[in-house]
Amino acid sequence: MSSQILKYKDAYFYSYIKSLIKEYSIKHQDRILMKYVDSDSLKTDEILNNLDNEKFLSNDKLEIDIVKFIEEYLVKTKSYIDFKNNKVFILDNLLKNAKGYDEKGNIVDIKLDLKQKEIVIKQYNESFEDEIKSYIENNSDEFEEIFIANNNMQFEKLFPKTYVETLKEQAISRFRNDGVMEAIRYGLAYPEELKSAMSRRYVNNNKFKTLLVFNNNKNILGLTKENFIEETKEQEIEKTQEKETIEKKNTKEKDTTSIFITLSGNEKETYKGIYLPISDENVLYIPKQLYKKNNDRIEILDNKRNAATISEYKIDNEEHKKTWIAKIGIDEFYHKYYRLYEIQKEKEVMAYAGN
Amino acid sequence: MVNASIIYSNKEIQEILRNKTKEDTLYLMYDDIFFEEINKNENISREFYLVSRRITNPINVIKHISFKLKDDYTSKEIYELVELLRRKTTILLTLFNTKEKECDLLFISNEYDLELEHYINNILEIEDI
Repeated sequence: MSSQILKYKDAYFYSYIKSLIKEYSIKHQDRILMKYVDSDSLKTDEILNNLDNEKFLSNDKLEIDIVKFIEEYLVKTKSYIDFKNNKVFILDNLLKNAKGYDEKGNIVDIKLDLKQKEIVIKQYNESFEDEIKSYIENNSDEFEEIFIANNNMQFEKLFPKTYVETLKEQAISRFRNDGVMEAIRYGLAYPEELKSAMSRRYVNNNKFKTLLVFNNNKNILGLTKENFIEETKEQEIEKTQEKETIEKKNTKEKDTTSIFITLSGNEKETYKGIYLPISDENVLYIPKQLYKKNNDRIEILDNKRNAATISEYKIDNEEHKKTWIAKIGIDEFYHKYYRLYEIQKEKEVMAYAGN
Repeated sequence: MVNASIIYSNKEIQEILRNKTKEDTLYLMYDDIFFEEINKNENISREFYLVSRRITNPINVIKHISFKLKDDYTSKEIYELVELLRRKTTILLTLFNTKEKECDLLFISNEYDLELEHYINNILEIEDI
């Protein structure tokens, strides 16, 4: 057999084994192994020399036990372990998508140099347990960006208003007192039903995204002006135009947004409106002008021209007395109380879906 | 014994609202299910006129009944009384001054007026004012 044919056979065999390893990595959702295979770190000789072992070949050497080869050999090699520990490489996309506030308080892109990337990885390694790190590294679609927060206020500003309050407080306390990296999970702020209608900023691959926040409280990154990527005038104009279009569209659509609530039977309707119990002590009062009733369902009309508003009251059951607490906007109502009622939001979803 | 008196003019209603809707007085508008406290400088007249204009018609007669309570009744007990009375008539406004232990009702007169007075006299131990 000519050496040319042998070379061809080796190359073909190498490519076949790589495809088997890749198949395994896809099946096991092992992104690190996938990246390892794609990075060409696995050399032809290494496969040929180490696979030729009774442990991995069976049935008169006509079948290859690729699972055994991966689990008992490949993942234990120094090359693979080094690769796995090289977080700068694993989290490359995340590190390329660093953002932060500039001097004017605008959110801008930040370009980190290699040393700064290593500082970020160091904090990442020290902040999360192995299980969480493995989750982050294997779910890069959920973790697309890292935010550099220079102080506690900047960190607090990143939380959506509807975030679960206790978890927000815990995260803020850890960020402030322990100086660690934190994660803001948008799934803790928005309802599952709204996912399909939300932008890429919050949702990717039908998953709520999580924003990792680097704790730069003591400016350990040593950020300088060079790190901040300024937007070109063209980009700024483009963004402004895009924003204006979205705002116009939202204003137009929001005039007709409706929320449908399936009533539980505990509501009390009066001449002027309806009381929806939201806890033992609190009720919401929706004036008649703001809803249409149809059997066991009401449709809340979010018409901006309507001066009537939803109000929250504290109820004293002993005295059969109500005390006004606050006005509630339609969006706040939806985000705060969607769990309590069977709520379906219409038209806004349709508008987004059309985008 | 307390008796309901007929309201002959808007002026009389204005007078009642002015004198009886003091700060901290509890009010129950028409068919509402909760009392609400009148805050400082709050005026419930507008709300009352809006409701009564929609509920009443020109041939309706509005009556006013006012009574003082001997004991310390809670607003919940007053609400329960109002609930009973609502079965017989349309009560446009209930005012309950807990400090003065005084209660005022503005309601639409009908054939059950005497029954209503009877309820109030019997269910609560009251004294004339």
